[in-house]
Amino acid sequence: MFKDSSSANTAPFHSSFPERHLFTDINDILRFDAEFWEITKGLPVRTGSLFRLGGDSFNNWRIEVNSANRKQIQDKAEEFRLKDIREKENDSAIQSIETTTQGALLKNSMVRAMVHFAMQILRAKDDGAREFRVLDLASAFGQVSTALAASLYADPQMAGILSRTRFHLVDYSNAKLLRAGQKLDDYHPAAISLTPGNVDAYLAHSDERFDIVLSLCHFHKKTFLKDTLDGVHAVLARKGVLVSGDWHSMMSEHPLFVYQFLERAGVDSSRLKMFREMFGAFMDPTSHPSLNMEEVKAVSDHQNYWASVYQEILASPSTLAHKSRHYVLGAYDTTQKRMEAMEESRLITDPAKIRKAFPNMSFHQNPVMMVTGSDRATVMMGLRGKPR
Amino acid sequence: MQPVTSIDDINTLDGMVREITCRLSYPMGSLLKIAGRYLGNYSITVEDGTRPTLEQMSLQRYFDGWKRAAKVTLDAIKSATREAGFPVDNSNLNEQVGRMTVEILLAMAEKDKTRHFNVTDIGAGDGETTGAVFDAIVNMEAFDLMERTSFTLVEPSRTNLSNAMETLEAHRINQVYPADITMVGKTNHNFLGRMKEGDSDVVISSAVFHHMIFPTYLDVIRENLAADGVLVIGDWYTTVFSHPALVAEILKDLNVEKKGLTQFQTLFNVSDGDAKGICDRMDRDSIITDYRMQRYIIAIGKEFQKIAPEHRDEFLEGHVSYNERKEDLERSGFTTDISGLKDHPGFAKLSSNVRNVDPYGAAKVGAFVKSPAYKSPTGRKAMVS
Repeated sequence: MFKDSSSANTAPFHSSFPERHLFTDINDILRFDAEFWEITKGLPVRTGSLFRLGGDSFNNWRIEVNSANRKQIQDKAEEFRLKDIREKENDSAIQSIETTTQGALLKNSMVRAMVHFAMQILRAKDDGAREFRVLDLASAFGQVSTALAASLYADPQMAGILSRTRFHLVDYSNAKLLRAGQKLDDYHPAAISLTPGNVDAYLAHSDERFDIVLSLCHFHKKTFLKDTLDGVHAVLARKGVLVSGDWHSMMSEHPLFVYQFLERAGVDSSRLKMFREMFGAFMDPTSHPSLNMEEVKAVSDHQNYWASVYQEILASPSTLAHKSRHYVLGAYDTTQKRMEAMEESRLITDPAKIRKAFPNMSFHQNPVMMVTGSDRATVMMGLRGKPR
Repeated sequence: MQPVTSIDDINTLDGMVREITCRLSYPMGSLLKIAGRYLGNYSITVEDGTRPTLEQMSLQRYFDGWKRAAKVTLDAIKSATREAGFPVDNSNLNEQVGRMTVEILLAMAEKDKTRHFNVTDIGAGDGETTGAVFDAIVNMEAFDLMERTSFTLVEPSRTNLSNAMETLEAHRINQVYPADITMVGKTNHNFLGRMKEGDSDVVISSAVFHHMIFPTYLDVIRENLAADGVLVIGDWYTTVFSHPALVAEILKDLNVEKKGLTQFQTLFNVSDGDAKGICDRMDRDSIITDYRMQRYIIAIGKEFQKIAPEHRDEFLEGHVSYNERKEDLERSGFTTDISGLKDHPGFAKLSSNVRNVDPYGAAKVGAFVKSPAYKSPTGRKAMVS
């Protein structure tokens, strides 16, 4: 059914290097990446480019990030991200196929937790007259901002805050931004600003300061997340808070976990052999960091999710014929790593310190693990700490 | 056209109407999905003797539609929701249902520190409404409630029930206190008919009652709530299907053939200018709400062009205005105004018992209580069971 990619005539590029060789030159990385694509080429679910990975995991995938290639890798990653966005804009089936009932319900639950945090912060900071500024990063159709506006509107004690809140939304898609703006406008907040384009570019150049920065299911797409989190820190006002909800898993961190997914999906042995030839030396189960039970479960949930998407496409002739492309790799991390990254960017995650900053704020914990027994989805706050 | 009364004549009329739009990407469907109070505008007279049969027929029409719905159907509807219509969706309704339910339960629990609560979710679907109650309990740190509350989810679809079980078992609330959940795989009507008096302290329901064309379910819920029981409803309120002249405007936008449109207008004795006359008598919010509902239907129609006909849903539903729902609630013995609820322990801290989720009132969440003085007319329960 799919093209057999194992019948190459010439020796693969990577085979001319020692099996533990790390690629550093961008041209070598590009050639290595192109060979990596071949493994899952033509399959209904593909790994996608190695440039989708998070910066910390490149070493596990035979790529060394250094000061000379960092910018080049970042540019390439951005190029792939833009390509993904265009593909999804032109093919609505991609999103539909990748959205499962459980995933959609969990995302809605994340939104409810984020809205609760945001409302608590607004209430804690309110003096009855001040203006608030809320930034929604990669807002898409404005799901979180609209939910926040709707909740403020519905709450008789909070409706006054809404009329003093300015929303600023940033997203690559003009169409999504416009629709998000229309939806928000119904609730008559103090102002709505829309900025089409790259989130990092906005953060780097903005001179606005925000009380709340919202981000839903976006940070796992950031190759060098620290840059983004530093940018968030820079745009937060005093006592400003990042409220973020995201998917987590170590699946993309290590070739072994992606290999396990391919096995679970039932990918043919010739492709698995190609995978082992490229990363065999990096697939030793003892070579990856130890994970706790919740993190192991998150990897398993992530593998099962993609395996079920894969099988569903195969089971539906019309979906299969549609030939939508779905890519597995991403810059996913664990909740623990995310917290560390936030702290490194001076975004305070310690609940005691957040409570000290907002004594009247009511919240159960930080971070909020959304799934019992799994690290798959988390909502967390990061309070702006003092600049170094 | 003379009003039709007998089941046979109603079936014949319904068949004629369905035939007119059956080739559209988003067909109209059965007149028996429209709220009973509007059927007179469609030349259907509902009599006490025929109401139970019409109610059964209506349910069957809804079930037939739900059976046709596949993932592609729901995806197409989601896509249309994002592109057109209302700023919020069912998840926003659920959020407010969850929040209001927990606020009321907390206040009732504070008043009576030993009481155990039974919460029943009617038309539970994938479990998101109960999940939103759990979210509110965690967000508001109301964990004591979990020790004192049992949840019953009523849902006819086994697939939905299975999804609900998976969702709620994985819910983060179980990290703190394992939820006490019972799943009931029955139709809402079947379950409501078997409920015993006082079975539920709180009945919750989100985006469900606009599929019930006669308000008899309210009588049964009332009878089966505890003496101080509360009904929390999240729902959509429009009048877009209240009159054939308004439906004719939708058919035009869905590009129905001229011949079909004329046939529809002739059947119900409406002409092109009638919709404007109806809108002239509506308030601003109702006009905006109905217009958005119309845009939403057109957007779904466009999305449905991309999917196989066997998976397409139909657009008529049992929407009513909020004031009409309020009338039904009051007629069934519920107190609907906050001024009448101040003595109820659950409402002591609430400044309002109705919250707008949509700014023009298309989506609202309301909490209502049994009126103690109400005397139920005999025989009304039989219509449901």
